[in-house]
Amino acid sequence: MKQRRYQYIKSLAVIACMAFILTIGVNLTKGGQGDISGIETSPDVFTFDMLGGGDRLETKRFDKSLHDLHTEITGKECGTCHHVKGKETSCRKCHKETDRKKIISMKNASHISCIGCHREMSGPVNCSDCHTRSGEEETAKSGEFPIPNQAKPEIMKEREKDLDKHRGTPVHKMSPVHFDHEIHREYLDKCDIPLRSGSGSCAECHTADGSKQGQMLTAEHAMHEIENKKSCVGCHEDKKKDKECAGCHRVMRKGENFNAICLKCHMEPSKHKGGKALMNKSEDIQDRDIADVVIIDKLSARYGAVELPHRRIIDSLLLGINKSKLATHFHNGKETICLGCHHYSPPGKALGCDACHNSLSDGQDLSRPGLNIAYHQQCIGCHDFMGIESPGSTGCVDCHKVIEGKTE
Amino acid sequence: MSISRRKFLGWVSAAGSASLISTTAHGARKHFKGYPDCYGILYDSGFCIGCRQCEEACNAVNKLSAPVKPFDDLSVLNQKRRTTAKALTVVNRYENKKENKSPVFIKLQCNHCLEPACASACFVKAFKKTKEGSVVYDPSVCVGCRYCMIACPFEIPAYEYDEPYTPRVMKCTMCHDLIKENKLPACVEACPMGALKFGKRNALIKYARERISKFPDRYIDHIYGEHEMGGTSWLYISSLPFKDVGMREDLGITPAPELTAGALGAVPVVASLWTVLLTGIYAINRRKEKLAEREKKEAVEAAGRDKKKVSLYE
Amino acid sequence: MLSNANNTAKSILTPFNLITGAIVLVGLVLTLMRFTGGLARVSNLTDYNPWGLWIGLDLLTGVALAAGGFVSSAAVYIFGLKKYHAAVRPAILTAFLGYALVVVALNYDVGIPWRLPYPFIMQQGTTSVLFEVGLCVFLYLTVLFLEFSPAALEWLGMRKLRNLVHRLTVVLTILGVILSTLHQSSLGALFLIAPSKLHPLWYSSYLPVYFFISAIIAGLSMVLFEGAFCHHFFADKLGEAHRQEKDQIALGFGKAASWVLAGYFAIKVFGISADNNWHYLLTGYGLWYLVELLGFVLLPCLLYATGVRGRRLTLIRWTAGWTVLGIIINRLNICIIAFNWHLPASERYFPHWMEIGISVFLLTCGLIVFKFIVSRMPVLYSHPEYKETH
Repeated sequence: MKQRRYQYIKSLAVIACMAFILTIGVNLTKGGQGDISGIETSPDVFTFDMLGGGDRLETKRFDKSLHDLHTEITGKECGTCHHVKGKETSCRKCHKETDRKKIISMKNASHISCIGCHREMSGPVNCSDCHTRSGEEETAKSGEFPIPNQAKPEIMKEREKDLDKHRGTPVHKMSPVHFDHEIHREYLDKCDIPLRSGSGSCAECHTADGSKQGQMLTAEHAMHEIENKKSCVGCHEDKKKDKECAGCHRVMRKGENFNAICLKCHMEPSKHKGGKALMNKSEDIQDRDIADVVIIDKLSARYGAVELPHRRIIDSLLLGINKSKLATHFHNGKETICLGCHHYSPPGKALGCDACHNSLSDGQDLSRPGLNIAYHQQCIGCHDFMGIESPGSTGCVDCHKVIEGKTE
Repeated sequence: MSISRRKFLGWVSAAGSASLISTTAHGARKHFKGYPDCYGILYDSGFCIGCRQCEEACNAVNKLSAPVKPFDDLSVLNQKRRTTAKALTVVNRYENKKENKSPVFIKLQCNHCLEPACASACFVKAFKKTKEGSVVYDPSVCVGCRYCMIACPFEIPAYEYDEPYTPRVMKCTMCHDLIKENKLPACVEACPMGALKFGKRNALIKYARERISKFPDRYIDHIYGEHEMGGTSWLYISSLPFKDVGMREDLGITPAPELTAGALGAVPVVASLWTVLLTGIYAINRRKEKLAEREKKEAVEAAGRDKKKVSLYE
Repeated sequence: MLSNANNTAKSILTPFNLITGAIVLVGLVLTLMRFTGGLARVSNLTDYNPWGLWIGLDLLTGVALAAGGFVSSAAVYIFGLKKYHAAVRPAILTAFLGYALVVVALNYDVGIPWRLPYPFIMQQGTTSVLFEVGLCVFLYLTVLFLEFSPAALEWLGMRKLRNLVHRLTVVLTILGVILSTLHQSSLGALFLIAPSKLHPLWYSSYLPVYFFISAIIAGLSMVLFEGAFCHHFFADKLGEAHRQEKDQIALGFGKAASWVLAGYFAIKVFGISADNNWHYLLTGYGLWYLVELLGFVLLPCLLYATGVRGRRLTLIRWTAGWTVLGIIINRLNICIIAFNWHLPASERYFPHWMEIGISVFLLTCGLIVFKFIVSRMPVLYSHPEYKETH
């Protein structure tokens, strides 16, 4: 009798334990955050991955050099590949991602056309010859594309008429932008910025009111959208992050618009001088305007005075600016250089730091630091953004001498 | 069993007040936004270059012993450090994988919470939140129980374990004495890059928001310390996400004292209820015993009477 | 005479005396080191781990295991379960020595022990749960002292005083239950302030309730455990009533423990459910938590029930020991093991051998005093001159 009772209790205990474990298990499969691996639903979409690596297949850029090659091989017979006369544009203008009624997909078109021809003429036929994994860098080689569309005067007039409808009286209007295609072609290797179809002017789709092809984005928005690298202003803004530019531009608010900056693009065609280099050396500026060396010894309690190589700094900034046509276009007055450090100075006069940053301003005005901090934020900040390793941020003796008697 | 009206009302009210045990006391729900005009310090990681001059200044002002490696030895930044009894503030370096590539530094010290966990936890009131904003420590009453070190969510207080007779809890005091003389805290004064800004907490928050909106790609859109643990007087803005620079983002916004307010609020309730219940149970049991005794007595007497009756007739 | 001297010499050098003597000697040396060299000299406590073995074992576990006092006295004097009367005095003695040792251990752990009265006499930190713990422990120690004093007074023959104190029994018991509820739960509430440091499976806003209920379990089990211990080692001191009642105490307390363990198990499961912490159960810590919950809560619940049902006293007593171990594990988990679970392994804490040494030393002192009292005072037997009239 006792034995049976014991058995009964034992089996109850086992059942209770199992029930508990089961409840836990059910709860685990139901929910909870993270930590449980292995219980996943199967994905709805499979990505085909023949090259391995798990990424989508990307096509090698059919860039200028490849186009050049093909032009030569076909003996300048455009019709060999551009099979629709009058529409010698990028294939993608008509051949889209998927097969449609009369026009097959880009994938099928390129495989039939390109590989077909390559088979006959012994060209690349393997997958990896044309496809890469996404993210792989490529170097472009030189070469020339024939340019279908220039900023011809006739086209400019059409655009002007279109925009005219939406601006004020003729007297007060802003000039349309003379877009120098040549200069931009130098810098950008790929024509498919902004569009993969790679042709046509922006204004074709981005009209003054916006059109369906342009996803209802107006011309104004498309050209000025500062967050987007495809727009004019956005790309220019992005270039300010380059090392040569970052020293001054990183401390300026994004899209900070100085007076008359709009006119840098919206200018009369006659006034446009092209990308002429800024003064080549600082000697172009009057000697007495720039000091060679500035001794900063206002606060030398622990460290000695700094001998700031003022002229050398200006010269190296000019060097950086002159490398880029974009920079020279916007930096064509001397105040554009001086204001990088001598900010808030009146035009034509570069004030010393201590004019406004006195030691007392610390704590009184949060946005105006004291002199010591102003010096360090300016110099070290600029060096940091420009990637200058020496003098580095913590290399105090790179700039200061240590005062005798003070130990390091 | 009949129960008097009085007793019934007593039981019902006791049961009703028992429902208070599970909720926090109402007073705990108020949101303390700091003493008006309290000061704070804003740490801007965009300016910090990790030169450790703040550490040196703090060491000097608090008259702490010199460290093993001097303050200009920047190789200490290769390891992550925490505050110790000899270092009330430390700077740590974190690698930056974003475009700029220069490392991000974070300076750690007491955050001078608006509702400090240490002050709430201390059973001898050794910590006080002053109206200037700093949380100060009185070593003359400290017993050394180290509950403050358990309570601090930022793991800041350190203890002088090797002091046998009067060990102290060591933490940043925001140079409270200097602040009262209208001077700047030592680290703020020493920083050459202006990474530390001293001012009214409300003004610092506004300024931090402006900086973030002016340079959105240089800062994460969050002021650490604005709401964490109910708000702290030391605020941080950073170019990297805070969890990547050693600062916990999972602390929540509930101030520490609120976490124990419920348990403490239950004390008087338990004290009063238990008295009533236990006395009641005791009284009921006594009554039961008395009744049982009386019944037994009556049964014995009844049996005795019956016996007598029987014997009479024998 | 020589033989007499030999006899006395032999009687002093018993194995018990030798071992405890050695421990006491080492303990005294360690005590000296602690108070001349500071905490760093004798412990592995760090800035990340301010509370170690002394708090986890001596304080938290010590207080939990001393809960037998209020549990047994409540059972007998408030709930009127007179048949457990023999359990009360040993339980009160254990509780009193336990709390006294807690206070002594605190003097080692706290940085400036002579300032321990400060929270009461200098500044009252009433926002602190620790203040409440301290106050209740101090008051409860007084209550326990008073509850135990009749035994000592009987031994000393101070009849009038003894009778006076004896009349306070019920009041003291009620006060004892209230104070015990408050400080047992508050020891759990101590950790409410650090949710970011305690593992989510152990942290809950119900921590005070968990601590209180597990204290009851600890009390019931400790009565059985140390009862078995006494009956083994102090069999000659056992009074008649104690000898007769010990089995029904085992059965009664065993049954109660089984019920309370079941309730405790249920509220712990509800706690996990309320915080939706199920997914933590499959981690390393989760498995350890399951060991604690299933092995040391559910299992003893079932074993107690089995033992009581089948009147298997040995099983009940072994289960009591197992449950006590479970309580120790639970307190150490909350204070040391699951605390700071987010820190890297290099920053985790393990006690220094000197910390272990001091804990053992204190426990040994407690045992010595216990032996002294039990051998001389009417704890395991009733004094013939005093009849329990209550």
